[in-house]
Amino acid sequence: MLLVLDLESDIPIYTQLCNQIMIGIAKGELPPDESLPSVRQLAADLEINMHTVNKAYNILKNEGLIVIHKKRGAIVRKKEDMKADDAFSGDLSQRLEPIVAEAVCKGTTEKQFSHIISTLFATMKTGGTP
Amino acid sequence: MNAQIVMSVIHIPTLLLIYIVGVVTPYVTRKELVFSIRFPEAFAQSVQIQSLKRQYLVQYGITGGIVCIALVSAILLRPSLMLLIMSPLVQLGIVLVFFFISRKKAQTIKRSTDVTGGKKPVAITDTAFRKNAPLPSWLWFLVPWAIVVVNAVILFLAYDRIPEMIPMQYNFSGEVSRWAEKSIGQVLLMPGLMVVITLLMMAMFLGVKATKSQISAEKPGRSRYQNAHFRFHMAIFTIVLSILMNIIFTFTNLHITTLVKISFPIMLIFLAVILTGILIYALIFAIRVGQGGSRVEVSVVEEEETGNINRDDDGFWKAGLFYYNPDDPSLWVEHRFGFGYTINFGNKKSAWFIAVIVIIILLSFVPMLL
Repeated sequence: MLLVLDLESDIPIYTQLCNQIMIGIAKGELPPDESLPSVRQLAADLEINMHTVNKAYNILKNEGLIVIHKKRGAIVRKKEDMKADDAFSGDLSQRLEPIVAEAVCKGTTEKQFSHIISTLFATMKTGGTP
Repeated sequence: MNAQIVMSVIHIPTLLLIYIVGVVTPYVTRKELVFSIRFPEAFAQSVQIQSLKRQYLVQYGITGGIVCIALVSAILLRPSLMLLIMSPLVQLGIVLVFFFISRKKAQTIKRSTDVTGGKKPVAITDTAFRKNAPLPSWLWFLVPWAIVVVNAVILFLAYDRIPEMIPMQYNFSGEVSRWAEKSIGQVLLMPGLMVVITLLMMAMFLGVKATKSQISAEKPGRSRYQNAHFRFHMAIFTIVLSILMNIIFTFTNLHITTLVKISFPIMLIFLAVILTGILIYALIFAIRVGQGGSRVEVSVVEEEETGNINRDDDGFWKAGLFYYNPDDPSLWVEHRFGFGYTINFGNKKSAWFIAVIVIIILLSFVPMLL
């Protein structure tokens, strides 16, 4: 899977890295059990600091999307291991709240918003060419 | 044997090679790197940049050619050790002068023109690059190691047949200028050297394996394929080189121990043939594959441009030649002007590398002074 980081963006590099890997996992471009490059390797390939990669990997680990083995490095978890718990649903609603709020302020209707969401869900399913 | 002929046999091809390398370098480096200045690929193919390259070709081609002919004639007419050491350095100096002139011009073009054309600078990599680009097995190194073992066994079994005095150094006329008394240590010196060379080649192989992937943000699909191709052939190069070097050592062993009678001129011709072979191999490799695989033809359907470009990393390249990036954990990186690899001086490990080079240079000069 190609990782492309916009270095002039306001979004921090580790967030971009996290988001892209997450999208890759959702789309199946990074299938379960796929190993990610080591922290050092990825930092070298992208010519960025190792701490940045480390930070991204740690966030993904805490989100439960990857596991970090001592020997095998970072590995995408199996689908059944990634299953959400109640805490995630609560967290999700909290994280969506400001986005929905902004949409409401700017006059986006619920229908328009739902349409965007379902389109996004569709790309996650159809884009799954590993 | 005539001293001049011996000297020219080894030295003149080297001088010619340096000249040729100087001529082809701008054309074997990555297309987006023009005299070590990064341009978007489309701009690098513009008339402006192409004519800059042609200017270099004409100016260096003529100046370097005249100097090369002058040095070759000097060696043929009045050979001396000083000339032997200085002539390649003079040639390198001339390449550098024209490199810096052209780099300056490229910099001016970059500053005065909107080269990016609104494209977005990005950092890019493929997470599965190494998985999809396997290298030849390191088990190939069993071949050079087998040659080392065979040499050690031969020397051990034939120890009694080795003459009491072993020639250590020859002058340009092919006469032995230094002898060493036979001893176990003396006889083991050669296989010892072979072990060092083979280990060095294995380190190079691992270095190739560890180098980062450098993918073009404009056409990642093509670039990924080219880069994988380059690494594969680079790894094969280290294996072939280790085998050829060990074959050279084997012949030298047989020669100095007189186990097989090989006369000095034949020995020299043999050495010249193998060394020239290695140089021609490297040259063909550079021209056909190109730095980072940039000259590899890709037969896949022409891919759309992504609208991204690789980020501007000119600032990490001091004088366009020395890479200094403390953030980048890699030690080995592709040359920007030239073929093969150089080191990241921003990596703390580079100090070790420099120390080893200095030691090797000192060690190779000490016997000359003795």
